Amino acid sequence: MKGFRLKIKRSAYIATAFIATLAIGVPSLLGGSASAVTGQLQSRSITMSDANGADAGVSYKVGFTSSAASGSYTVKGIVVDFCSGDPIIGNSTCALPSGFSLSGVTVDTTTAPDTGLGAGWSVTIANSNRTLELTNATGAALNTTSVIFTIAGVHNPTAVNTSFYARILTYNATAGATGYVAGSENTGSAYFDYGGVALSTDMVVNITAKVMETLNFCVYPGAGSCGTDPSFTIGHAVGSATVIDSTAVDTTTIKWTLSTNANTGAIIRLQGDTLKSGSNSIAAAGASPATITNGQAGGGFGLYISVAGTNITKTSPYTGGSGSQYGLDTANSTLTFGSQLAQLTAATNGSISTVTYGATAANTTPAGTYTATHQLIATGTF
Amino acid sequence: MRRFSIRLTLSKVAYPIAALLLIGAGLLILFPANGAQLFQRSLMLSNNQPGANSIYKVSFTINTPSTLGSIEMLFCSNSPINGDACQAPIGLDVSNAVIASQVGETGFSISSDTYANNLILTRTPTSSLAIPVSYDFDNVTNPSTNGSYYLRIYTYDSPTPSPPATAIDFGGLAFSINSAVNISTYVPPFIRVCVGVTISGYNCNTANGDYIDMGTLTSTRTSAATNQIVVATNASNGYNLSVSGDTLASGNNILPPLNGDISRPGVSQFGINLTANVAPSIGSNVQGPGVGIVSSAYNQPNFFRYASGDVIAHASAPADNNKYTISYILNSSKDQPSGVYVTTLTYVGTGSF
Repeated sequence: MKGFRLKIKRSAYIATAFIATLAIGVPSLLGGSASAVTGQLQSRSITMSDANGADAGVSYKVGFTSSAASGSYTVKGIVVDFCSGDPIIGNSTCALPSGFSLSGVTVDTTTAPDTGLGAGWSVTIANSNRTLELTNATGAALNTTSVIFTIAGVHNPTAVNTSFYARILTYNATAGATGYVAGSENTGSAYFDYGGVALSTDMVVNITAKVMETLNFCVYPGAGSCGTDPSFTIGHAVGSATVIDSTAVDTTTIKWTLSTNANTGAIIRLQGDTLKSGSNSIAAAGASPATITNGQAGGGFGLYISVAGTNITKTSPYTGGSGSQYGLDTANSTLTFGSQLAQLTAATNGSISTVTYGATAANTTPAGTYTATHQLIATGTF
Repeated sequence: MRRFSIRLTLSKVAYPIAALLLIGAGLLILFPANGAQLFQRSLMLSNNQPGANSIYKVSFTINTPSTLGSIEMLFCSNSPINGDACQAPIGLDVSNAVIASQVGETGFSISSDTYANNLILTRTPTSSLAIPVSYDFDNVTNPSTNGSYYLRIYTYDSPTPSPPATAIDFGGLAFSINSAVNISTYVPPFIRVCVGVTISGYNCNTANGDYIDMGTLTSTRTSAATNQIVVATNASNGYNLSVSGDTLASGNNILPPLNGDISRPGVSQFGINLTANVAPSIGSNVQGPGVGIVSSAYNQPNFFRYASGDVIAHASAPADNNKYTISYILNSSKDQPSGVYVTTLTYVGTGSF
């Protein structure tokens, strides 16, 4: 090599986005051969789909434009030779980048954005899987329009953060490509256009974030908000007292808000009994949705989900039945873990449901203060 | 715990950006190396009130079949994430917990290494399967305030937990402590007595009339009339229904009250009863779902009586509605002085609460 000039073409950096392109001036003074060199390929780039070292199955999108000064010619052979050391055409040393391989690659010349070459190109891999030789006896007319083709199935060099290079040459005879030898590029026939490209492997950036398991559940009065005590006195005013009697079915509402990222949502259970005053009690609405009528025998006390929040599925007998029917299955709601009131069917944010309680007393319901403690317990399954 | 991996391809011109990202990545807290994640993790409470004594049911599915010697359950108020510092929930105490049941992998006892927010199960290391397991613990004291709390579960091959990084499986979950819904109401002492000439059903709003005109008395026939009374009470010992008032009088002249006798036209009489009669054909038996009964002196068909202050009906327990029909008979002798005979009778229901 008697001499050459080196030129860094900054515009190519931008054009190739992720691939630093190093434009190498052709050694116009290359020794000897009857060169048919017409000019340097313009806008050369090789875009890698994955630059991580040692990754396999990577696609390399090769792009260039024939030298504007060279005019049109029919290209029948293209060589892309990958070297670890330099992109210099004419340098007889082109070592295989460690770990790099073109073995088994396919080349697409027709699927957009691939363009410029048309169909009918044959692929030959040479030089220990480092050199791609494309040939087409019919060829394609090259002018200043861009050429793009994609090499799929490339195995990247092993080392990360390491540069390697490609030498690209075009021929107007298939023998030129198949006879390609680094440093003796005109062995099969003289090449027409040429150019070098620099590539680099790198490391992927692994970013880790933590998302906690969450379950936020609060119960509050129907007219309140999270944090407000949901306890209430049910009844209507008689004098200064709030009472239930046989003249009415009194109602009160509470709400719950549930948010969780539990995979399968959550179960909302009710744990508690009917209204009791010592040994006296108000009859629970029961294990099936039932209408409570004022003054009914034994009185009546129950609840139902009057508004189901997002992703809430009501559980019988708390569905409301045919409308405003109540339930209170004390056979199960008084068990250790209570009974299911509703189910949140998926991870959900801010699902708000309303529960309506109803109560009435019979004529014979013994006088007294009746109380019940209901726990609404949400359990997420993560 | 989820990980998001973002892969970036860097060009040389992007190296400065990459450098910043790498520095940032280096600042991230790295997770200790744990095994696989436990599946289907849940914590069910029997009582979710702040500070309450509760039963905790911890359930999960073992992911990695392996030797299993201990299970650690670490409760935290700040995070379920392995590797984060754990802040003990205030008020939570599992140190007195006892195993109520164990399902799946069994044979565990509570380790002496257990403390307030760290419940450790231990057993002789035995191979385990990838199966659902569940453990119930009695006598756990809930955190003392409402809010979300977290549980980290680790499985180990040794009978004593090793550093979390050596756990076979790990999983976190969240649970909630909430105030209970305390419901109260008041059922007042109640007695209802409504009187009318007629009452539809048991609806006191339909009680109609308070005056009975028994017409002109003759010595040949009995004058008869009725009115109705509905009574109900929630008094635990029931009620007494009494009547008071004088017999019919016109000035100093009266119609003598009966003391249990039949109707005798031509004899001056005034009496009542609360049953169905044939002679005269009047009256009705007590009606309604209540447990009230007619006093025996006023419950004999065709026999009438009147004594002011008598209890004419009663119940010995809380009584739903009963409707009593009061039958009145008047007879007049031929020498009964003429005049307008009147009286006012008062019916009083008295509950015994």
